[in-house]
This record gives sequence, structure tokens and C-alpha cells, in this order.
Amino acid sequence: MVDLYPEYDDSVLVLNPLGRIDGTNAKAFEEALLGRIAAGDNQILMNFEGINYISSAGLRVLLMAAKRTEQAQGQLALCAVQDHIQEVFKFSGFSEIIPIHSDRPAALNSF
Amino acid sequence: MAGRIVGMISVLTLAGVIAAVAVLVLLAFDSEEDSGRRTAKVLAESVARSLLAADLSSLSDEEVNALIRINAPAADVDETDAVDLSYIWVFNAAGRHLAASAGARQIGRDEINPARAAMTPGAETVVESLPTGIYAGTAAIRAADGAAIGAVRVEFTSNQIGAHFDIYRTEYIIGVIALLVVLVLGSWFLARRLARPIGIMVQAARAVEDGRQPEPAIAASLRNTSLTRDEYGELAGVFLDMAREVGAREIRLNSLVEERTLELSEKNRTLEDTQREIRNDLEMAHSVQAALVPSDLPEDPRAGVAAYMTPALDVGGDFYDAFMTDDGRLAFAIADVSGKGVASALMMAVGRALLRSAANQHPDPSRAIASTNDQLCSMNPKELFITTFFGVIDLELGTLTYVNAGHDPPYIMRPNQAPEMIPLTGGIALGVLPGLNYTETTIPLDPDTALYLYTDGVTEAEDASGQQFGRDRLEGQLAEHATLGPQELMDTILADLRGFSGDAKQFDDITCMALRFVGGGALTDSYIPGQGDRRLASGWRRMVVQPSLESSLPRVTAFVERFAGAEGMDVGQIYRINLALDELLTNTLEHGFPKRVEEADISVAIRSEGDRVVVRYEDNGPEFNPLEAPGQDTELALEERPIGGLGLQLIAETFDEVTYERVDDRNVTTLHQSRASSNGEPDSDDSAFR
Repeated sequence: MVDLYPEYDDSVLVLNPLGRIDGTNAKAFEEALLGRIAAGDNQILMNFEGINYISSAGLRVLLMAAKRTEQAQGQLALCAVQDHIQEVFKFSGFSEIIPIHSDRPAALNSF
Repeated sequence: MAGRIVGMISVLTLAGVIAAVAVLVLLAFDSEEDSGRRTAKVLAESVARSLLAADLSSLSDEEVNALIRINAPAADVDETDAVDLSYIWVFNAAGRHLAASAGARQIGRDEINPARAAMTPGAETVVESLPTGIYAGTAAIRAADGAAIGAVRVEFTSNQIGAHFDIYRTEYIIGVIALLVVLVLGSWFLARRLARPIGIMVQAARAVEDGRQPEPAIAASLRNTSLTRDEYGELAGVFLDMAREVGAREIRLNSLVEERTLELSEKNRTLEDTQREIRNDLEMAHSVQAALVPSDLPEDPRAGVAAYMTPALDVGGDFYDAFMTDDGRLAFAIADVSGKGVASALMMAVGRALLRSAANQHPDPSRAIASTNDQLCSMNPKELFITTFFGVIDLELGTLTYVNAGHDPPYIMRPNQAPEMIPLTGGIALGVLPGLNYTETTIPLDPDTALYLYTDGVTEAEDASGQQFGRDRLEGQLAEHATLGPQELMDTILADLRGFSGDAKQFDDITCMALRFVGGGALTDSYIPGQGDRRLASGWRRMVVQPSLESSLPRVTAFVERFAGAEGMDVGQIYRINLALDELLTNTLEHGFPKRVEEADISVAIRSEGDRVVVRYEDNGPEFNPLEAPGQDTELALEERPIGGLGLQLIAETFDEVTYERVDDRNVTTLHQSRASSNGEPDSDDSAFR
């Protein structure tokens, strides 16, 4: 299973996934993340510092999570995204719909 | 003993016999004259006694003749002969002649003088042997008071003596023989009587000595003997007591021996059980060891591997390994643990497991070896060490990256070249010192390059005369058979080795491995033009992709990263290529082979073209152009964005140029990316498709 290394900063759930999010683990990633939202967490910050690869399968999970948190009057944000990953967020238009912050303190201020 | 007694008695008997025989011989040789004289004496005295009562003065010649008959010793002799041959004269006390037998001659001085001599008081009978062959005896006729009242003279010829004598001799001989018989029988009986109890005791003693009971007859005789009151009886009694004591001791000893034998057999059984356990343990260790060297070596069209190991003892310290790493490279190792036996085998098992796991953990052989070394050092109480050659062949790139940790350098046989030793990397054996850094070396592998790895059990194998197989002979064999496949090459060298060793003892484990790198590219000609080494000429690196995302994605990623590392590409470029291949592969696997995924034939190829990187992705699925896939409107608001349909679109966004063609029933997607555009801003207007 994917370990999200969760922690709380006030009411914000900070998740710190590591490595890759691709077709081979997207399902597990989805279950872990949506499970958190289903359990009541809707203020979620994904710290992408440790993510060095994400494919469309991973983007799809982020999109689902962003929708669910929004439906729950919450928010999903990213921070510390590596440059080459950020590129894909831009290409895919995800950077327009999911807030991406440069670092964690900045991200936490936005909640 | 009995024999000796019998012998002594026999000797005594023999002495008696000899004495008797001597008497007989003396009799036989008794002289005629002595006989005659003796006879004359006896006759004369006999006649004198018979005349004692007679009135000598009135004795007539007839009466004297009658005396001759009476006294003739040979009564059965013819009367005429007796009368003719014998004469008797009778004298009175004065020596005067009184009467004579018939025909007797006139007497004179020669007759009167002996008569007078015989009649002197106390005189003996006078015996004469006359020259005419006549014997004469003259005896006094003595009254009860010893006074001679007359004398008598008898004469007879020597002819008469024989008869007398023979009669006596026969009686003597019969007597002597009877005596002899009595003597022999007596001594035999005596000997038997003396010897028999001893003989019985001897037999009984033999029985006791042999540890069995005397036969019943013997025992009965012995008991009978013991009842007698003589020395034999006493001896037999003592013997019986002794035999009983010996028997009792024998029984005690026997039971003691039985007890000890039982103990011994129990100990033996325990020993056998222990030995069997040890043997079982060794056999188990042997099968464990056999299981620890892989029986199924990797099979790949791009490279062949064959390996062999035979331990010298039941359990050895060599091992080999060959396996595909998680990222699809061919890793292989050969190693020799110092020492022999179970400790070495355990070390070998640990070493092999550590190396295999490290090889998957660390793509670089040097780091895998360093990690294995550190772990071995931390669990090496016996201070064993392992000389190791560890190599990884990148089947796509055609490279061998290796570390030699103190092992005999393997040989490389490049096409049409003599065997060469693979240069050392300067590493020391594993398990010696922790924290060491190992150096790795990468060399290109041309297609049809063979490798041969071995342990010193091969080169140091000895023939009957103690000469070693040696590197020279090994190199000769390798040069001669370099073009053979790995299995054939290995078998040929092993056959030569066995021929060399003959029946000589195998001192060390014999382990070897042969590899053959066939070629990295199976690219079809329709994509990569050119002759000869397509891979090298065209610069393409190609890998075949298994139709499973879980197993293929890490390999494709590693493939790309190795290529990119060699080309000096940055992380963004690598990411974009990996992302594109990921999305294409995911799409193919999700939609291309809905039913028969095992028929999928998917490959990835990559090369540099000037300042651009070209990636070709191909599959044999139904015709599908990813450029025409429905994309997402990337400018929709969150709530309007559909989930999915993004993957293929990303490819178009991230590459400078994307083309699709359908060739030979295969979908071929080619991606071009300028190496200068690594951080290019997303520009939808310049994107390859819309």
C-alpha cells in the first residue's frame, strides 16, 4: 500500500507521499487519499517534495480528490512540486484548477 | 602323561621280554658238553637215590638193567637203544664193583677212582666227559646219616643227550613264552589301569578348556575314578572341583561378556544413528546447496547462460548465480568461498542471497558489491571470505558493467579475437573488511561476444601425475571453441577437463559459467535500415516490453534512465520520455489487447539524432492513432473536467514532434524532442496536435 505519511498542521491534513505515482500504484494511492476525504478530512495539503514522477493515472487521482474536497467545502492544494512535475501540471491545465504553492508555509497560509 | 606312563611300562615290559629272550638264546646256545655233564650228574644221583633202599650186596645184573629202564630219561626211547647206549655200575662202600648192567665192560681204575672220590664225605657227584663221546656220572649212595654205602656210575653216549636236552628245552621255551605272555598282558593291563583315569581327565580338561561340559561317559568315568581311594581318585576329585569352579567362572565371565557386548552394541547403535544423522545432515546440506545455485538460468533471446558446479566434498563453497534484475538486466556472478564444508556452504548461501538482493536494490554493481561486503563482514564469525566476480549486462545497451572482488579474471571472447582476461577492477574479496568502496568498469559488448567464468577448481584440477590443468590449456580450449553456444562451450571444456583429470582426485569445487551476448536489438529492418550491427550502426537501443504494466514499467524506466545517463540528459527530459512511454504502454495494455494480452509484441527503441532524442514505441495491436485520441479541454474549470482521457494528450503537449504510422500491422509512434527545449514553456499553439 502507498504510505502518505500523514500529519496534521492545525486543521490541515498534510500528506507527504514519496517516489512515483503511476499506473502501477495509482489505485492504491486513490484508495488511501479518497479514504482520508471520506473519513472527513477536506482540508488537504499534498507535499510533493518527495514525488519525482507522476503519470496521468496519478493526475486523475488528484483530480478526483480535488473534486471531492471541493464538494465537501474543503480544498486540495499542492506544494513543493519539482520543476519537471510542475511542467506537466501546466501542460495539463491542472495548475489552473489545483492551487500549487512554492512551499509548505505559503500553502498552509492559503487554507 | 598317560602315554608317557604307558611308555615307561612298555619299556619295563620290553626289558622283561629281552631278558626272557636272552634266556632262550642262552638255552639255544647251551653247549652239548655242559648238557651232557649236567645230564650225567642228574642221572647218576637219580639212580643213586633209587638204589638207596636196595641191598647192594645182592644186586643182580638184571636188577641193574631194570634200573636203567627206570632211570632212562627218555622213557619213550626205543628200549634197545636205551640198553645199547647206557650202562650202570654199582660199587660197594669200599669201591669194589658189585653189579653192572648188561653188556657193561669190566671196570678198572678209571671207574673205581671216581667212585671213591664221590664217596668221600661231603663230596659232589663226579661227572666226566670221556674222549670217546661218552658222558659219565658217578654219585655216592648215601644213607640218611650221610655216610656213603656205595656208589653208582652211569654212562651214556652223547647221542642220548640230544633227546634229553630237547625235552628240557621245549619245556623251557614254553615256560618262557608263557611268562612273556603273562608279562605283556600284565603290563598292558597295568598301563591301561594307570593311564585310563589320566586319559579321561585329559579329555575332560580339553572339554573344560574348550568351554563345554565333558561328555556324559567321560564325566561318569571321572566320578567313578574320584570315588577310588588312590592318588588318581584324589586327583580326579580335585579336578572335578576345579572344573566346577572353572565352569562357574565361565558362566560369570559369559554373562559379563554378554552384558558388555550388549552395552557395546548399544553404543554402536547410537554411533550409527549419529553417523546416519550426520550423513543425512550432509546430504541435506548438499541438496540445500544444490538448490542454492539456480537450476533455471535466465532465458532471453539476447543472451544465453550456462553454468555448472560440482563440489569436491559433500558440501562446497563455490557458487554461481545468474538472474534478470528487476529492471531487466542480466546479472551474473561466480564466487569461491574460502574453506570447505558446512561453514563455507552457509557462507555461500548467505553471500548469494545478499548479492542477489543487493543487485536489485542497487543498479550499480559497485554499490551492490559494497553493500554485500558490508553485510557479509557483519555476519562472518569464521572470518571466511568470498572471491567474487559480479557483472551486469545491459541487454539493450550492449554493455557489461562488472566488479572483480579478488576473483580469477574471467575470459572474454570477442568475435574473431583471441580470448582475453577481463581487466581487474582492483577489489579485494568480500567479507574481509567492511566499508570498502569497490570500483566498477563498463565495457561494450559486441553481439556474439562470449564470456567464460570459472573458479580455481578448474585451472588447478590435477591429472594423475599432479600436473595442473592451467590457464594455458583453458585459453587454448576457449580459443578453439569460442563460437559455440554457452552450454556447448561449457560442456566441451568440462569434457576436456575430465579427460585431463582422469581418475585423479578432485581437490576443489569445480564451478564455471559461460555466457553469450547475442545482441541487444531485434529491431525489424523496416524501422532501422542498414547492414551489419544494426544496433551500433544506427545507434538505436531497443528493448522488448512484457505486456504487464507492473513488470514492464520499472524496466522501461530503467532503460530510459540508463540511456539518458549515457547521453547526459536532464531530469525533465527523462521524465517526459518516461511519461510518454508510460502513457502509451498503459493505453496499449488497456485498449490494444482486450482479450489476448499474451499475443502482445511491444517494444521501445531510443536513440540520439543530433541534438534531438528520438523514441519509437510500437505494438502489434489493432490500428490506433494516439494523435486522434479524444483529448481533454485543459482549460475547463475543475468541476467541468472529466476524469481521465488525459494521458495521450500529455504526450503531444510535452514533445516537439509526434508522428504515427501503421507499418506491417504494427502501430508505430515516434516522438522527437529537442535536447535544448528541456524547460520549454508549455505553448499550446506549438503543440504537435490539437
